Amino acid sequence: MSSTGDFQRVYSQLVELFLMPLLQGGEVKIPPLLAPSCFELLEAFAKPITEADLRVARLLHIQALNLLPLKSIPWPSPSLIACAATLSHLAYLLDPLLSKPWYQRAFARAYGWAYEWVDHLPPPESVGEAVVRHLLLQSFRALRRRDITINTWIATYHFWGRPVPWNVTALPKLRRVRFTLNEERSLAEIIRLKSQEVKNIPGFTSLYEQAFARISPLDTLLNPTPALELDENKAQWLSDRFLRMAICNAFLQLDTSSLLELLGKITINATSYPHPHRALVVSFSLEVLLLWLLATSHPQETSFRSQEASFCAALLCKAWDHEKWKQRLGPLSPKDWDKVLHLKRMSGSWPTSTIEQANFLLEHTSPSFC
Amino acid sequence: MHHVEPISPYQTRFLTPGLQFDIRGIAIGQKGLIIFPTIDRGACFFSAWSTDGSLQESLASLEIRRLRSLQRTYEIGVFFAVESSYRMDRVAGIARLAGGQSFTGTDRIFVQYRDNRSPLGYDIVENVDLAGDLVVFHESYRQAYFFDKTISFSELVLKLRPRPHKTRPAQHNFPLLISVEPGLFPALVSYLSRSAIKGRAALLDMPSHSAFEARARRLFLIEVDGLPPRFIELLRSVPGVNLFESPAPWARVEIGFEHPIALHACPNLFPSHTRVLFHGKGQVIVANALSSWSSLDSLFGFEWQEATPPIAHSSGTPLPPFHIPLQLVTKAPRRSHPSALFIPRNELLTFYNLLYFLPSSAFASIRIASAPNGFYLIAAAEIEAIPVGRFFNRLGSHLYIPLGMEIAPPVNSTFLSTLLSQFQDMHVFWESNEHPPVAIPDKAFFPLSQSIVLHLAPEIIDTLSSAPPPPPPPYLAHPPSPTAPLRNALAVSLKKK
Repeated sequence: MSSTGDFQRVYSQLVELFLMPLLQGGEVKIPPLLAPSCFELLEAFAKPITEADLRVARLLHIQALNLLPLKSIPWPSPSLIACAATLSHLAYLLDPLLSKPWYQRAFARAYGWAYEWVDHLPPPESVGEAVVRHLLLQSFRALRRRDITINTWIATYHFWGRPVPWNVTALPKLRRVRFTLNEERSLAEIIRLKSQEVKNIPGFTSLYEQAFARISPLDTLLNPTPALELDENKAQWLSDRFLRMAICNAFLQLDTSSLLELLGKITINATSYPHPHRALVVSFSLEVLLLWLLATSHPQETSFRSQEASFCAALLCKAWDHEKWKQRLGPLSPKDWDKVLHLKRMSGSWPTSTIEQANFLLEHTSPSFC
Repeated sequence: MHHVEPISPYQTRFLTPGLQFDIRGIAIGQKGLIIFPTIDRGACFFSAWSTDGSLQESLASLEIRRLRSLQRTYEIGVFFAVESSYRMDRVAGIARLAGGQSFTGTDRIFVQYRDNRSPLGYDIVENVDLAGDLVVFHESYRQAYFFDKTISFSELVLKLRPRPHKTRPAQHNFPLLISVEPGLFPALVSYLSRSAIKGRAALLDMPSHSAFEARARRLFLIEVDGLPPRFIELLRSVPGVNLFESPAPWARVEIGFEHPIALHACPNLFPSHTRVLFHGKGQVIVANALSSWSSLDSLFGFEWQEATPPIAHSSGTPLPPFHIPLQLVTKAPRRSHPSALFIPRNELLTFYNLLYFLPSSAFASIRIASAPNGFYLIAAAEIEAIPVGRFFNRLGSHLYIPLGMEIAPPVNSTFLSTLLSQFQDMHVFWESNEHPPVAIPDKAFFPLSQSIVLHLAPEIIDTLSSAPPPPPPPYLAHPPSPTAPLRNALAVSLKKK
């Protein structure tokens, strides 16, 4: 069989055994692995779109619409197939049997391939591709595994992610099958267990961290934590209106103190960025702050005790003093304007340097978001 | 070894003290004894015995004792006087059915009673003196017992819990007893009196269950000689009201339940003035301290009227032509069905709540009109199911007067129709002498359902736009052979290389 025919076979198994159940739920099987050398084959290979591809695209489109309105999904594209192949490697490496000494060579080979795949992954070219990569990663993070432990009077059997053969539990009274422990583990827990098994192999956990960051640059933006670092590369994703709204919604899920501290931190950091990126971050922060102010009943003084939080509030207060930002933010209802006035009254208790820093940033930045 | 031997027809004396031939030639003592292993077998025996016939003649001599054997095991012995072998045969048959063994004797020594193998009975083989209050001799054993404690038959009856009827009885045993919590008593008396139901009521003071209770519990008892079936269903569904039927003069068992022992078989177990109430849930109330019974009519509310000055009679002058006004007067209570109802404004809330419990036929037949002082309802039937407001009877075609009243002088209904000829298309309600009759046009009456149900606005659910159920989570399944994905992958990569 030609290499094209082999690739077609492995690709269809990747889609049907691995990708489809990953997206719609069910038993995710490990397909035959694609060697990293296939990456070049991917780019050169113009495959016809099959029925399975359409189903995958439809599933991805349905999930993407929960985040933002996308007209179409760029599946199958070489970089997305590469992401799926990387994820299949990552799933394969979690097999506990591969830690046995007689499978060391197989594990080492797959481990090396996984690293090569991660290195090969290009950054997403469009918003649609970035969103699809994020959805693939989100589905992979939702993976779970059923781990079954059976204890008999002879031995303890572990069936982690594998079905139990019938003869293990046959004649339970005669063979004294004492107990059966059925656990369901999340992906984070599976990775933690596996990293304990392969302590001698350095960088096992960091492989997954790198892979996740390479597959989806949006992961940290759409699942924000107080530890988020918004560099210039990530800030460029804020230029898309719909994606920015999705990120904005994700930020608003944080509690008030975490949100204000995070926004303050990323805005203060943005002062050193070149203008387009700085304008994106400041405009985004003001947009989130305004939405937070509209949603909150009455801002409390206790929310602005930290430096970052008071910087955010100062930014929002001072934005109304600059005509260009005032036009950008738009008119407010009297009730919401009362909240802004309330913030302005509170600004007396904040450090003067914070207010001046906010004023300086607004003065030297023009509103973005076309 | 046999401890008793069959009696032969010509035997003249017995070793068992007190044993003698009766008129049929059967050896029998003055007492019968049935021994049961447990008290529940004894209860079964009494249940079967009472169903079979009256216990009245045996109750006087009946004695139930707990027997303790030398091995400190306990059994139940039922002693009773035996006048003839006929009665003993009947009781022994029932006892065998309930798992008991029957003996006969006179004082302390009892011997096995006759069976098919020895139709004339048994006598002991040798007179052995065993220590104990009671010695029984059976074909296969002899046993001495000590008397432990006595259980009276009435105590046994009170401790048995009534069981639900297997089948619904065709009719109830009257008189029925209604037990009412104090708060409901005035309303229920008023309701029964308005419906012309005869009965009597008494107050029962029950001792406190606990020293911490502030006062003794009180319960009102109403005894009625007859009650329509719809009343029975209604009262059974009212919380705080319980209905009891009378299987015996002293016994009242909650409707829907029956006592395990046929109580009609023991009519004189308690004095006739005592009422023993058996609740279906097991509670038993022995009502000894009853107040005197009073008629329900005497407890119904009275209305006072202003004293009228005496009429001055004059004589000698011719009487001028005169007109006397028609009046409403109270008539002797007689059962009649109301055909209209007036619900005053202050009872509307109760009426609104009652609407949820009316049968569907009521909504079809009742018509309702709204007036400033309340609602007027008219219907051919079903209207007496509403226990609020004031009922009206129809006189003639369209005049309504309050239930329990009549028009004086008693003019006939045709004349009344003539008087109201100009109100042909109206319903005329005459509530009292103090107020003039009220006429409501027939077209002001609407079916009940049309008048009270405001609206029903279904919410439209677009199934296409509703969110789909969340998909099941993906589960990772490792390959049966760990190297299989790698083996198959190698072929592709090698070819490429």
